[in-house]
Amino acid sequence: VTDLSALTVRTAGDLLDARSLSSQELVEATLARIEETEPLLHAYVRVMADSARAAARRADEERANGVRRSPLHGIPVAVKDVLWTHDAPTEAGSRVLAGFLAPEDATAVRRLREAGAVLVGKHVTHEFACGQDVPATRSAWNSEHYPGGSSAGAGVSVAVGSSLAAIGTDAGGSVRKPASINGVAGLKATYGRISRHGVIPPTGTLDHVAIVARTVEDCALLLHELAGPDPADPTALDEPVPDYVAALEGDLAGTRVGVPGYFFGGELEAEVRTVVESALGELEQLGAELVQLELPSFELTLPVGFTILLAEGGASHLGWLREQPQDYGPDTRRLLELGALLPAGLVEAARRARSLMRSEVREAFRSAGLDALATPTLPRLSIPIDEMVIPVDLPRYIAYTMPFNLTGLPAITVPCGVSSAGLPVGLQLAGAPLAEATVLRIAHAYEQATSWHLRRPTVAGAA
Amino acid sequence: VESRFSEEEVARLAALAGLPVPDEDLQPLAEALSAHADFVEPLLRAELPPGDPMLRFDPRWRD
Repeated sequence: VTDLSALTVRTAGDLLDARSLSSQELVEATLARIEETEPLLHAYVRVMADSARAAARRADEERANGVRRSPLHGIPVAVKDVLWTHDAPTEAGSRVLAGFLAPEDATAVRRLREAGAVLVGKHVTHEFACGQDVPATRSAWNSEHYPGGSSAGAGVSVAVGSSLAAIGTDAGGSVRKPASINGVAGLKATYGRISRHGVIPPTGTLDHVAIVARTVEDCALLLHELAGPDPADPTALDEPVPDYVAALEGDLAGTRVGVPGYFFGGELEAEVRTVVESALGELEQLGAELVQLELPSFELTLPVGFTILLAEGGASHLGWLREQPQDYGPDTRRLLELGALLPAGLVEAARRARSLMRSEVREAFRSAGLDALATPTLPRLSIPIDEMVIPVDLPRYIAYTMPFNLTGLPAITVPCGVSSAGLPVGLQLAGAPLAEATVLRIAHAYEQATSWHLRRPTVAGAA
Repeated sequence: VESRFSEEEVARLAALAGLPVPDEDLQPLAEALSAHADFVEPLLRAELPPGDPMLRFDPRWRD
């Protein structure tokens, strides 16, 4: 295998099933792709070549003996370096955790491994996924541009084929943002759908383990393996896990898709608006009925989201802030200290406003008989890193993704077009709680009717 | 722009929280707190109905 650019988890799995490809060949090709692209893109903080080769050998042996653990068996994947791995350090991009070796795998990592997936490495994250530093990672489409964060490595790596799929975390858009910017799919399921045991930091009501892949079908394949209750995580939902892949089939006739005005206001860049409106037209062509609606409380998204994010972040880091403050990057430390000092009355107001947002969106789904919402994933294109002013730009980037962290609703981004400069634009689809199957079905129908997901970046200096 | 929080206020808050904030970081932290206070003005002005403050978040719609 020399060209990974056309492979997906599904197609690679089909080749493995047909014995026309081995996991060892696939993993070697992935490791070669990592070597080829890393000097420019820096998506990985750690490549686990030896353990990946051993896992691939085991996968081939098991398959030769008639054991096929799942559609992920023998597939190379990578995880963000905030998820515990028992056999490689988990440092969360911070000196605070330098050399930290977790006592066990995060539940999500364990489930991937039990499904037979081969872990090839750990992806770059902003320090503690806070987004305050500028990581070394560069956009797959323009190395001068912001790659999205905090799961920056995941979005870039999947886009260039240095992993076939990845898992990251998303507390405000940290998976959907890099997925959108790098032209791949990113799925944040319902809060609690995927266990967060073994994720750093361990608390918070906004954070989710989330999936980056090249196609909606691949997201469904991974979600099927990752979803489900977990005794180690009290926030993991004890709900049945449907067959997400089987649910992909079906057209959009009769599907009602809400289009909230909040996501099409003055913050939305003209080029993004044009692309996303075209995507909405495509959904209509496919049979969906678009319903314009207003969600007034969503205007409070950023003050509410940042207040809760900061307060929960500050609280969860209090011990480390007291014991080893010098090991934080200065901007991350200041942000977390700020969170620890926020007045309780403000945090209470934010929680009440969050409750209002939740009630409002629930009522919108019920009164309008909605199946999903459709929005731009981001209000703007990726900008040059040199032009980034983090305190100003970071909030703007998560204004459209954060509402679904606050409400806990499932949301996916899929590529839906490009700017005049060739930068990807994402369409976000969100559903009712636990309605991942509906969100995936709509996204899949859109994806199958378009070809944006087939575009691949050319990495300068790489074959 | 005048900061809403003084260094002394931030030092007291930090002491209450048990945070070892060095003297040279008090001013930047006071400015960050002030900036956040400005940022959340719309939230503080909003008319929020009394109700569940969501101390334990469950995404499911049960009612």
